[in-house]
This record gives sequence, structure tokens and C-alpha cells, in this order.
Amino acid sequence: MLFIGFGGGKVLLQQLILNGIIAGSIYALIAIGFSVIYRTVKFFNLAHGIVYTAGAYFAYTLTISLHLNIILSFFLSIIFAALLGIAIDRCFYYPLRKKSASNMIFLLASFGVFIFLQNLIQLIYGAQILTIRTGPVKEGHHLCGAVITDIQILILVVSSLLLVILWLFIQKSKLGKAMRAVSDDPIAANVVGINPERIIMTSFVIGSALAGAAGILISYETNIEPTMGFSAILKGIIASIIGGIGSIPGAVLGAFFLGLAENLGIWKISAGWKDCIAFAILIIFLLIRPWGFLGTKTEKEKI
Amino acid sequence: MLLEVRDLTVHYDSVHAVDNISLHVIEEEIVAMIGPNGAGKSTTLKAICGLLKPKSGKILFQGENINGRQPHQLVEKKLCLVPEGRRVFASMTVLENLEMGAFTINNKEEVRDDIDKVYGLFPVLKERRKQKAGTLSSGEQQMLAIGRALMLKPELLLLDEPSLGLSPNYVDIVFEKIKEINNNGTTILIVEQNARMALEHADRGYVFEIGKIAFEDKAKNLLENDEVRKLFLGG
Repeated sequence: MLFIGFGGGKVLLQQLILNGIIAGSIYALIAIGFSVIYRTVKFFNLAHGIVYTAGAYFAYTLTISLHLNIILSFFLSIIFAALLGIAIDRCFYYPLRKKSASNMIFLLASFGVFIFLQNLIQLIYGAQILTIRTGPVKEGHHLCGAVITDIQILILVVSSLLLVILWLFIQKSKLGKAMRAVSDDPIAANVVGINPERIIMTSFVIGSALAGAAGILISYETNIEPTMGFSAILKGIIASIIGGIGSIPGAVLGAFFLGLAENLGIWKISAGWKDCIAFAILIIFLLIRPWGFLGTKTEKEKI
Repeated sequence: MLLEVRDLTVHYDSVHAVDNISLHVIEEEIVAMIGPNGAGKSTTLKAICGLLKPKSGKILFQGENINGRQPHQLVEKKLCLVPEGRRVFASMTVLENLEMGAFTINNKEEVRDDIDKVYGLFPVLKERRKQKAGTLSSGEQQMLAIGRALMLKPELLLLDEPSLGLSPNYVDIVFEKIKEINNNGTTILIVEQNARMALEHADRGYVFEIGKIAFEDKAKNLLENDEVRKLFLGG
């Protein structure tokens, strides 16, 4: 996913660790968004991947086509991603909830939404790769024997900031606590006066904003294409599962573990094996510890 | 009259249906609904608090028809349920559980006062305020579930099987507390399998039998009724 010029044989390990951390922070944004939504709706929202893609294309449109200031376009793109999340829920999942559809139906619907929106993006922008980066590539900074670019520093700073804000929101705010309550027991939450639809909408706003942010950040770093969301959502899901499905600290842990494992794995073998490493880790976890690092054993039945 | 249920029919599943029942609760009463498993007591309670949609009939709360309202809407009318099986928020602390009980109340000072009142009623919750609710004993969880519902200052408190799965010691404590809550002015409608315990603490009772109400009377009279004794109170 991320390509950086290596500084030579000796510094390769440091560089791979750094690449792993950067990849991990992007995975973390996707995985946390996925988990936040999973916790309230209890199904795998595959359409989460297309919100990530859409975030990148919103950023492209606003920055390149409309020549907006990059900071303004960053925030606008996050808002559009959140709105897209709400729209997906209202148009597709809400009617299914009214019919008490099974989780399998939701999973299929979310996959359908993913394919539909991916094709829509392809129809509008074409299948070719696009790039936001303008001007020459600047040389990176040297850090503990590795090279890090300005954009990568931005990715690390912004994603850490978003993780901290989200954590404080969930732990301290009333709405965040209500989200935890719904995740624990939706019926009990309902009888103390929490409107479940309001919490579902909140979780789609937050989850989609995080996925959008990940897509926007990656669009500054690398090329974008309509199919980019597929591998992103797979990595997000793998990170969530190995971290413990539904656990937010677990999703962060899983994301960094995955990012590092993928990148350190290619120290000795070819980079083409990255996805293979990710899925091997998933399979090992499903066989040995299906509830992940921080999940509870009861959650494993839901996978 | 605080609550009046008229000709209520609910189809839940074939076992738990209730058919054309009527009952009422007057202010400051404790009313018990007793009867065997599957007779429709819990179904009736779930229909009153909005967890189940009735097929037909009227549910009047303070004179207003609340048939078909969602539970979170009824909370605003001060009609609150302590659900069967306690259902505390297991991963949240005792204090956070109580705060969630006050989700609809925006005045922070009021919430703090109410939490103190709940601690006054259940001192053990104060001791355990920082503990995760999932780690409490079932008796303590029941107190937390009741305390959480009291945060809403209900006019009518619905209790679904409060003694289920509790040790005999806790059953006594829970019923004592129910009486105390009632003495403080809260009307209570309770569904209970422990018929004797429920009738000993209630003012009136309804005896359910396969989706119908078989008897209704003052609790005292039901305790002395031969047929009720033979069927539900073990002779």
C-alpha cells in the first residue's frame, strides 16, 4: 500500500518498522470506524470500504477539480464522508431494520452497496488512477535511520489525534457512553430512554468520518483508484478480528500488529506477499484465538 | 387511575400470547401479576412498556393511549421498566450504569442528587461504583437495574421477574426495597413467579392462566383463596 525509497540495507529494518506504523495508523482509522459501526448494528458493514474510497475522491474533487484550499477540502471531505455514511444507513439498512432482517441479509446488502457505489465512482471518474500530489516529490526527513516524508508525518499526527478524540468521546461524553450502552445491551438501553436510531446514526457519522479521513490521508500519499476500498475494508476487518471484534482498543492493536507484520514480513520475502501475510494472520487467529487480542469469548460466537 | 389496560391482545409466539385481557393500576399501589410460566404475564408487561406491539386493545397511561409507543418515548412519560434478567450494561461501571439511567435528564446537579438517593437506598452500589457491572453478583445487579430505573423518577415502575435467579437472602432484600420505593410514592406493577412473595408485598394481584386472567382480587384475599393456594402457592 505504501511505498518509500529505502535508505540502504542496514536501515531496512528501521524503515520497515516505520512503514508498518504508518500503514497501521491508516488501518487503525478504518478498523475503528468499522468497529464503532459494528458495535451498534452487529453486522459486518462492507460498504465501509467504499466510504474510504469516497473520502479520497471527495478530496480529489475539492482539491484538484475545484482548487479549494487543502485544509478546507480535508474537513469538507470528512463531512461528506460522514453524510455518505448516514445516507447509506438511511437508504439501505434502515428499511431492512424495519423488517427485522437477519445479519446475513445486512451483510449481502452492504456488499451490494459497496459494488454499486464503486461502480458509480468508476462511472464518474473513470477506472484509471488519479493523483492529488502536485509539484515535485520532496526528500524526506531522516529519523532513527529511516526516512519519513512530510505527508507521512501528517498521517501519523492526524490519525493519532483522531484516535485520541474518539477515545475521549466514547469514554467521557454522554453520547459516547450511550453508544457503549447500546453495544452492551440494546434493549436495556432502549428502556432507559436511549433512542436506538439516534445512536445508530451517531455511529455511522463517526465511523464514516474516520473511514473518510483514512481515504483522504492516503490520497495525499499515493495514487487513488475506484477499487482501492476493497483491500482497505479487508484489512480493516482483519485488524478488527485479530484485535477482538467490537473492541476499540483491540482494533487499534490489531491494526498496528497487521501493519507491522505485513511490512516486516517483506523483509525476507517479496512485497507481493503482503496480502498473503495478512490473510495468514487472520487464519491463524481464527483457528487459535478467534476472539482476538482483547475480545471476550462470548463475542467469538458472533463472528 | 394511573394505568388502564383494556381488551389487550398480543401475539408474541403461540406460548406467550395474551388474549383480550383487562387490568388496571391505581396510584401508589403495588400490583402483582402472578401465574405459571408462559401464562402471558411478561408478555403483558412488555406490551405495556412498548417492547412488544399489541395486536389490539388499549393501554391508557394517565388517560393517554400509549399503545404502540417505543420504550424510549414512554420513559419521558415516567413509565419505566426493570427488564427480566436485569440486563445491566456489563462493560460499564456501576456509576456509568446509573448515569445511563438518567440519559434523558440534562441537569447535571439533578443527576448527581438522584445518584446519591439511589446510593442511599442501595449502599452496596456506592461501594461498588467503580466496578464493572458485569462483575457484580446477580443480587447486586438486580439492585443496580432497579436503581438505574429509579434515576428516571418513574410514576409507574414495571418490574419483570425481579427475584429470578437470586439467592433467598437477596429475594428478601429486593422485596423489602420494592416496598420502600413504593412507600416513597412510586406506583409499582410487578410480574413474579414467586407468587407468595409477590402477594405478601402487593396490594392487589392478577392471576394469569394461559393467556387469560383467571382471578383478580386484593392480594390478601388471593393468599387465602383455596384455588389459588392449591394452584400457585403450593397448598
